[in-house]
Amino acid sequence: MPGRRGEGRHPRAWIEGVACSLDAAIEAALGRLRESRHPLFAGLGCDVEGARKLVRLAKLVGASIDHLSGTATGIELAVARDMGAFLTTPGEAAARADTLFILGPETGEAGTEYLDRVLETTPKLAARDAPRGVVWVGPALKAKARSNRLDITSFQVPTPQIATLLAALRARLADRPVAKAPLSAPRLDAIVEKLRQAKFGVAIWSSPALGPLAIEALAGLVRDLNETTRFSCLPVIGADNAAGVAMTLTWLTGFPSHIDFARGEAEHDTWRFDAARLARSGEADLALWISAYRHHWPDWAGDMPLIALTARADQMKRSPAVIEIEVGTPGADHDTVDFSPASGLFAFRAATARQAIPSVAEVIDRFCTELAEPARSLR
Amino acid sequence: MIRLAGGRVIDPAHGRDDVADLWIDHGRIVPPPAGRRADQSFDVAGKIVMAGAIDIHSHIAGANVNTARLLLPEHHRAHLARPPATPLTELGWSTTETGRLYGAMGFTTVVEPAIAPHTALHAHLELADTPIIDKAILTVLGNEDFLLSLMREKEGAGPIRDYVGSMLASSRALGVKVINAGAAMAFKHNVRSFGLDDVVPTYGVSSRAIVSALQRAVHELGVPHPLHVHCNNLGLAGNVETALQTIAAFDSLPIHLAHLQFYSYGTEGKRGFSSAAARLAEAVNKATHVSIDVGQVMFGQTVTVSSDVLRQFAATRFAHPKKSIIIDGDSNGGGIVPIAYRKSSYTNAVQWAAGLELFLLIEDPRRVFFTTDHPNGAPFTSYPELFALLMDRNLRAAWLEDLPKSALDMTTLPAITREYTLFEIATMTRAAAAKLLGLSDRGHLGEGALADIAVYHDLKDRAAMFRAAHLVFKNGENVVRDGKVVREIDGKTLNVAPPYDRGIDRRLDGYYEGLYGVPRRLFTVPPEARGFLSAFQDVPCAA
Ligand SMILES: [Zn+2]
Repeated sequence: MPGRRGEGRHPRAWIEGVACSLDAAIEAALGRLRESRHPLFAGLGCDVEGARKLVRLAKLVGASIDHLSGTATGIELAVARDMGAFLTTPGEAAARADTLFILGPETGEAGTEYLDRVLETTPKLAARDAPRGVVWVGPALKAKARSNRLDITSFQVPTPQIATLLAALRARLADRPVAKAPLSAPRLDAIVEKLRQAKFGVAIWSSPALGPLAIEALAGLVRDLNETTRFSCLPVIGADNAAGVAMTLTWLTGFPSHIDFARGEAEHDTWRFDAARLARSGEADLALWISAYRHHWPDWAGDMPLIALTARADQMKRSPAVIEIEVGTPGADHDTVDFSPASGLFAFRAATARQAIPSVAEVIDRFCTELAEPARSLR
Repeated sequence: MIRLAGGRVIDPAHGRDDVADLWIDHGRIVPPPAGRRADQSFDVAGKIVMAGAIDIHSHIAGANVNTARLLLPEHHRAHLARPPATPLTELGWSTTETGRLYGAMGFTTVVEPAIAPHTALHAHLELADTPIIDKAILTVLGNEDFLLSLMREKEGAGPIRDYVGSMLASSRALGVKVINAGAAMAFKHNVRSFGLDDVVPTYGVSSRAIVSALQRAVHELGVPHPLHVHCNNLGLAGNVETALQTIAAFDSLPIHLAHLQFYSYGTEGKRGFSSAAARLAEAVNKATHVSIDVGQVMFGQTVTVSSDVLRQFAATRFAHPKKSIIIDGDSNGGGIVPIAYRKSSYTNAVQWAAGLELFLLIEDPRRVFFTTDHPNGAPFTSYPELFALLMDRNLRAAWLEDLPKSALDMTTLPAITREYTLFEIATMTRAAAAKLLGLSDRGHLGEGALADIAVYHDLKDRAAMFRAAHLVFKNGENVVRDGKVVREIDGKTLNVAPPYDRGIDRRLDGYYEGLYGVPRRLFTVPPEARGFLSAFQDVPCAA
């Protein structure tokens, strides 16, 4: 975004909406953290380095962590954990898939960008030499899909009925009769035939739109397709490096989210350590809200005092935070490693315009230094 | 300056087993100083002093391991060291606990052996969060379109060597592993079984040819660790033939065969599944170009994490609990399949016995390595029990009583009387492991060596002895006392960087842009990322 990010920006911070120095904001935040009975860390829109420091801080202050409730990544992980999964990468889908099975409505910014690229790419490693087949199931066909290098079949199905549709496809694949489906039997069979004929098919979707039931049905369908051919899945990567943070938390603690350190060691419970529940029940008495990729707030923001580490906002009016510290955007204001939707991998990105604004990791590290007992030599 | 006074020093690299003092200064082992006193002295009389142990093959980090953590949050309990009361072990297999648990057992270097090059940055991030130990990765090659195309087009050994050199550099690896060579690619073409002479569809290249090309490239680059091979047909009845063919086929250069236990099965008996480990051990004894690690199975719940996606897909039918993740990755693949090895299971009992047969029937402890293929055969926290089994035939006899007789009839284990000595244990887990990886600065207690040292109580209960080291030093720092981590330090990551013709990099840059439409640097571990990773240490290659 040229023009918005001028050189020489300086750290900015606010207490009760009044601008203050970074040091003053950090001092005030430390006071809150020290007094808190049970702090909650939420949002976690940050890079790997930020997540590393947040785990360290959570251990020091006995915090709960939830950054996945209601997010795309949260839904994906929950289904995979219950059902297992077949997964592939953006690279393989682009280079190898002779058939794309695209489900649901628009897939968000990263998803749209990726889908545009895939739909314009020839699958150079595909097993058959033919235009790429696309089976599009959803409320509307995407404009980019009208390329002549694609062999497109589209089916108008309202998003809430996609789960039913997938269950029906699974039944038809197994040659079982279907009582209720949003498409006629011949149209169902036409889809099944296209999927069955795929040499290497990939299903692509964005989960918040689809919901867990549809994703479960899809996991079952893809498992069955693999009895005779090859098929895999590519959920569109969610916003805010949620997948990258989930992975970082997993290697550091064993769990992707919904973690609590009140008793020292990490405990995991998706109901007890849900951010909204902790906020609304009053079990948590302070929130540390992290959002370095964009400026937004949780819908429970009014339920408890908030310390916020946020990306730059155009207008800083009516912040719900008691203490707010502006942090740099990873890959823009500072070097970063985060999860790349383009590759489906962790990747290093150098800062595009390095700024003197602290990163999430740097701010959290200052908290840790102040709160840590001496003699510890953790990274 | 630190003095370890009066311990029994077992240092097979120097043929040593005697009572002596050991001196440490600036992180290294030094000769006894003339006229200087120790700043700190530890009385280790009656204790066993060895170099820090080295694990050459343990899946401790990376995308597949992390996916297993995601799939099985309930699995943490399986990593509890027995007995479970030690305060260290409330969590199981986070990176943090991995480093601490290894440290507590006296291990100071661990190799993660299966990292797809594109996920190397992920693996290095995890390893940076694994405290105390030094670590390394092996980069997995053998399924990439680029490599298979070089072979199909018969471009010859030069470009393959340069390509391997480039992949070692871009993934910051210590060596190369090949996993069921060509099978991950074949599986993408819907091939469901893949042997040594099967050919990857559309490339016309056999598994045998891929292994051979990589074995040669690794050798020509001067990489100290020979090609690390995960053979075809893992886990199948009768697959001893595959292992024997593999040993015979690649006899012109050194080769390392991973988790050989999983390839030591015959087809005898009513169930058509038997241990052929004795036959295999005999072949290994004769084949001096071969080193192996065992991949011992121990009983209990675990999870198999493997890049042998073709085999893992087949294994999903036996998943326990019933959920698996199958990954068709860039070039490589992966499968996460949970499994419970049960004492009452005929198959599992044969596997357990076959592993011990390999340990006990392969005569040279410099060519057989200590692994459970963590977590595939068992979590690494079961090592102490395994040490005890190797060292005590009466303990083995007691275990045998709990196992199905029909299974034991299919093995030679009950008749084996060999007991490993402490010297042999130290050979296998220290001296030979360092030599196999080309790490001259560790695995021994000679002057100038890194002061990576494990001191054990000399207990009759060998499992208890190895579970909780009395003292552990990493780079001369005391990190463990009586099995408790007293100091968490950051280890290094070991890698090789052999010279190669950089022309291949320009070619690869163009190839990536063309195939994926995104820059190749997204798939590498760039030098600028080092601030987020452990410090790297270059391991020299042969000129
Ligand atoms: Zn392995």
